[in-house]
Amino acid sequence: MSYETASRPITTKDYLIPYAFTGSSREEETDISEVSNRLFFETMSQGLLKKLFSYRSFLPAFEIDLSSVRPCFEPMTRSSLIEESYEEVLPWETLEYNVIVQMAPRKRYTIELEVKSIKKVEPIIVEPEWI
Amino acid sequence: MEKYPWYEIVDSEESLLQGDFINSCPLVIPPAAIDSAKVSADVVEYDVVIMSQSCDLEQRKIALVLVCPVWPLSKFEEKNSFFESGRGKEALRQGNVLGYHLLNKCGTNGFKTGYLVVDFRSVYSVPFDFFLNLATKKGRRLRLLPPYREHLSQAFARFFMRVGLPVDIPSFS
Repeated sequence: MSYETASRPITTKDYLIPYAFTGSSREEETDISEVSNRLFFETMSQGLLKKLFSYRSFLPAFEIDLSSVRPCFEPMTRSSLIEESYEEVLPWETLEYNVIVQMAPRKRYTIELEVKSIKKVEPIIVEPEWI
Repeated sequence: MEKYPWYEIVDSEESLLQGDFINSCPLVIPPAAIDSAKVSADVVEYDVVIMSQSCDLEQRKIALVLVCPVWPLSKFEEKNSFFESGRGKEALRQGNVLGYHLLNKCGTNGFKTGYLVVDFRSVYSVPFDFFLNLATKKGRRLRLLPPYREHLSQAFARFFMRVGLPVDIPSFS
């Protein structure tokens, strides 16, 4: 299933971004999701993202270094993952083809038939089982 | 793959069901006119698959069995370059080629086939008793299993019920 993507930049002029960075009492325990959320909404509000993409595909766009005391969240230079998140529908994939192939039968021969009778048949009525 | 097999082999005595394959089924093509007591008629033989509904067959509610010819995909490739291309085969696989339906390979010994194509444009009806007798004589036969059988039936229904509009809404592009 493909979803419609926004072609215009999303602005937040009259709409408060429903995210508030809560922070943490201890920097080393800063929640990764909070930081990534902050980055996401800040990037959106700055109009840096020209196209809407799914939130799930956003996370891999950042290098997350958990080894340090102060987690590092830096935008990665490559953007291929974001591009790949679009479900591209090629026009030819949606087309119906009307191709007709004339196939000869496996075997063909002629027989002589004797016509025994010609009559107009009566209808064969099949009664439904629920009657 | 093994959990949802496409085919099984059934004995000749088993009831006819939708999705049963019969090879070299003779079909009589009547002459253009029957104007004498003796006429010549062509007989053509096709490998066919039963399209009639299984319940109608089991309960003998029909006098004629509906069948469609089946071809190896390789024959289609020989006949038409469209099916040689990956694009053509993919369109066929996705059900986007009108009137044709692709079935999987069968790897069972004695019944090995490549991909098969069912031709919905050539529909024949065969008298039930004749077909039953033929199926019994032919011996064990290949049977398409659910849900692939229902998928075939649905594809046939989609082909049959399509409607072409005399005046279509113009394209938005």
